[in-house]
Amino acid sequence: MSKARILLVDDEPAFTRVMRSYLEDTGRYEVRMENDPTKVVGVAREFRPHLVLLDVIMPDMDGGEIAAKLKSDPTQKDVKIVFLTAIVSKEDVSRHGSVIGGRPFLAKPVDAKVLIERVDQELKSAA
Amino acid sequence: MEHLHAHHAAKSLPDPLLDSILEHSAEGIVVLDASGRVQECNPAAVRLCGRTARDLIGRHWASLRLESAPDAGSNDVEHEPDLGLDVGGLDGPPQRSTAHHVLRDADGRPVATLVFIREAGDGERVADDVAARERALAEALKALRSSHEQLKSTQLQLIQAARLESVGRLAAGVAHEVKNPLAILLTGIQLMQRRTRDADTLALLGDLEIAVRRANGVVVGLLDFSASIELKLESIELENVVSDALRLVHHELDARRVRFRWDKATPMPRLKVDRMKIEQVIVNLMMNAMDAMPAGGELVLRTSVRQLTRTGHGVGYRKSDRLRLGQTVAVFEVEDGGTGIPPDIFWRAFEPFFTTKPAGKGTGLGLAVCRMIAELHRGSVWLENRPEGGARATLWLPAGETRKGEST
Repeated sequence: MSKARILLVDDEPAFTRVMRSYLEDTGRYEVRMENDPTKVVGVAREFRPHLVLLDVIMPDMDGGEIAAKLKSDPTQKDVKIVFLTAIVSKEDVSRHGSVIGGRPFLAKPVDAKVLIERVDQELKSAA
Repeated sequence: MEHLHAHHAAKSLPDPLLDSILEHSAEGIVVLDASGRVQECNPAAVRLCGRTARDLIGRHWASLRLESAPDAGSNDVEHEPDLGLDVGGLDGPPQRSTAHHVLRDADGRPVATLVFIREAGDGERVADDVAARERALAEALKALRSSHEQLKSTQLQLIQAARLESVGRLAAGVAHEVKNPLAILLTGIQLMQRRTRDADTLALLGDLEIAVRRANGVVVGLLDFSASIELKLESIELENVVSDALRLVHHELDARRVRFRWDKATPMPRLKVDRMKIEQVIVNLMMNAMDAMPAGGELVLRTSVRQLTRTGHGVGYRKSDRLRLGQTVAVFEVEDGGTGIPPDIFWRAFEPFFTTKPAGKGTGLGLAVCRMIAELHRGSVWLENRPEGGARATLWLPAGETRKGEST
């Protein structure tokens, strides 16, 4: 059984490193990490992820913008996206509602087990 | 001077009108100075006294021999106090500032009245002035005190609002800047937990994970506190809210060996409240009560409905007062058997980040959140020490309109 490809996007290299290690330790995922939000679409075209774990607040380009670009790209339109956000108040969620756009999101710091459950759930729905 | 000019007692009348009234008055009007000498008089007074105006002016009133009442054609003249005014003896000036003298005919029928008006002497004028100024000063002082109180209250509200705004801005920044490193730490800790089998290392990692979650709890508390809270109001039985809150603290009560009693003084009404937030207030107040009794003890939750009969704690007449006198409120009282609250921290207890709990035990936001939630519901929450020992936290929620005549 082939591994699910996950593209991990966050401007914090330390976070992507530990998260990649955690995900790869399960033996079920192939993980690519990207810390430069402007390069995500290009990397995605080459890597062809099943799912993108996408930080919301980043310099240069935020998660919502990246999601829109991915969805408008014919090669990426079916990719599953799970947002990761450090802003969790009701006000922030409502203010960024259009960015999150009803897509699943997880609040940082996320419990790794919860994250894997959500990832598997999304991958299953894509299958 | 044939007639009276504007008198200080009638200053509000225009001079020509006053002159005309005095000129045509059937009553004799005589103005005396402080020593009792005639200063001014009107034509009727001249006529009733049977003298010329020139002859009257400057005379001491006691020397006026009111021998005749010309209209009555009689020589019998009587002086009598009118309506209880003390006329005084003829040897001195009248004791009061005005006196009426009735002139009667031989049959005792009143035919005319002389009104004496004595102007205040310098001493009296000064005394009057001082008294008037004292009254004015007292009024001004009262108004000033009231303004000062209002200003102080407004200033406190502004400080509080500014503080909340700062906390809000701070919280949003803190959330992003602190939660990201916490995310790295938590994922790293969980990764190492997965990779190691060493018991000591696992125990250490467990402690690290707890520390990270605690730090995250502070940030989440900050965000909850600073979020512009929109109440999700729903009509609900308040007893159900209390029951839900009790389910949340049940385990803590047992763990801390705290006996619990719910005293339902009166049935609670159904109210439109934000169920989760009111539940949060009750839980916070109960957790505080438990913290106040580290060795265990008894915690009493008393619920009732009552009518407000005294001002204070947000109750008053002003528009800014959240609760009105006479208003009916749902009351939640949480009583502990601890050592009570030191007086010097009463006013600080509801400040954000103020805590008396040991490091790691409290964020200092619990009571601040309680107050915010209470005020969002137009209610009140406060603390007091109980005479029998321990502290009492009280939450009032408005429960309907003012109903006059309803007892407490």
